[in-house]
Amino acid sequence: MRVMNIEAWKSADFFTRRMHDFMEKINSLFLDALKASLMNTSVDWEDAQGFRDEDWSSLFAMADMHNVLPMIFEAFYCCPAAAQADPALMAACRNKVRNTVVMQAMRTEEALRLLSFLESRDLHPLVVKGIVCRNLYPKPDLRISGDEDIWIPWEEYGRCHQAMLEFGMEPVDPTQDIKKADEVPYVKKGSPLYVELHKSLFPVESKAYGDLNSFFAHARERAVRVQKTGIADIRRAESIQASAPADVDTIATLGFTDHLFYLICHAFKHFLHSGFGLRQVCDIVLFANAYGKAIDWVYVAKCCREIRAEKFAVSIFRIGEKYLTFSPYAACFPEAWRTMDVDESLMLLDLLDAGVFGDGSMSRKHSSTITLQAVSAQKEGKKTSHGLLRSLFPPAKDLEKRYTYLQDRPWLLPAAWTARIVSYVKETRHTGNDGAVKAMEIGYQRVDLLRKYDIID
Amino acid sequence: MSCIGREDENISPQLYRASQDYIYRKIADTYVLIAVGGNIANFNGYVSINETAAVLWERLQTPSTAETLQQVLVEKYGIDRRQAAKDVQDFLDEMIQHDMVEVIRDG
Repeated sequence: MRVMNIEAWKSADFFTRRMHDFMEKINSLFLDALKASLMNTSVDWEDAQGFRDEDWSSLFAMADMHNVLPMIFEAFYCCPAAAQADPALMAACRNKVRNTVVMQAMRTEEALRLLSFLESRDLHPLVVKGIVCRNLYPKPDLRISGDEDIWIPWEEYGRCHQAMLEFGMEPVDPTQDIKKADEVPYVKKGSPLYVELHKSLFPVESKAYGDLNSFFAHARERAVRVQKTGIADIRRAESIQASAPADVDTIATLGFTDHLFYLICHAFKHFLHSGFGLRQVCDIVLFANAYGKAIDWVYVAKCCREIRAEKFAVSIFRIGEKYLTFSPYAACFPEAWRTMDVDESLMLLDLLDAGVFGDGSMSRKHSSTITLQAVSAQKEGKKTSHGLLRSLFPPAKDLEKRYTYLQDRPWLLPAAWTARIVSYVKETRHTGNDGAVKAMEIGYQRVDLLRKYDIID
Repeated sequence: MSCIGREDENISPQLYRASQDYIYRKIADTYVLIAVGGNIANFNGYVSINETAAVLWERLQTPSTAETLQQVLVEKYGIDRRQAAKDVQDFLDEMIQHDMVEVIRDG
């Protein structure tokens, strides 16, 4: 995928050209197959459409980048064009899909066992995203995620940690200060299960989005219990308090309104970093379709406005409606959002380029320093240009974790700046992937994108 | 028919059930049994099975006799009962040997 040119974005003529451009063959095939997968149908691609091995390889790579290869494969494997493709190429893809789905099925089963185990220890884990979103898909195991996110109350962490150890889980990083950290990842030996235990939904110390936690301060009181499999029965879920005695058939999770807003915030967080992918759009679309009737859209819209994510959220749903399966009617989507003047095309371009969680390229990942600084500066009432300068020369406090000597000797800050730049240049040279200049280019382009969606001034 | 009757008499009336330590999934056009729970560490992930085995596995989600399983194959594939009996016995032997199907003795 190409990197966007922000100067060209500003040109109306370019839009027309670019719209044709980004709907080019692979993107179009990718979106078609993704939509078919969400609808539990298959695509009917004919070989007459001129499929070449390179087309298939590009499609697989794109699907992989968005972590939706199993969904895409399921949608096309029996179409006429696939039957004409190189058997070795298809067999390799089939094997990869099978292995990926097997691992996901194992992770889900293990995660459900872990949740039951934690509840049996009188703990109160809330599942966010993961299993709850996976159950919305026609074939849940095809929705892949590397980890399961569990939110627990701060005060329960000590006991929860002991229970995790008892279950066979251990912290990924033995040197992490798990008492202070607001997120502790765990793995289980001999198992593919990887769990992120969150004491807060967003990193508290983040200047760019730590304030999102305030919206969920009372979310635990509004939590619900949903079935472990399938789409939840809304009435049943809302009738059972999450604090009610645990039963083996259900798991505790955020209330429907909180959960949708959380999914938006989570995508927003990644958008502020280096981008988010279409899998997250699928989650939001399917969640709104399934639980729209139970969602307080006025509240969601109000919260989105408060965090300057209203255009961002509307664009997600607009993409969902145009290219995926979002049904404004089924979701009881508010009229104000339906008619809002928003151009979602730039976001779609960014999404296609970003890959899952904006991991599309090293340069893109590194570009997050620039976007996050711009947002932080805005929140501190400073000009975003201040943030851009600060992204190159951050204050000592921001570098203390990596350059620990700054804790005692803050006057060594210029040395840390130099070390940081040298290290980055070395890293990009070593990996041979993109470069520091490209990361800055993407960062500045994405800062402009944040402006387009009114996230910053 | 009398031949079938004699065969039926020879089949153990035991009940069989799919082990809870495996889950079945159809992934594209392949069928797999995936190890879960305590079995993950002791088993190499999954085994591929054919469509007939997948049909039998799904039936074994509820305890069933060998005769019931034979009947499922006869109805689904239109094969003769002798063949169905052999297929079921081969399937059960293999599955029981690997602890993937449990024999409920008091069935």
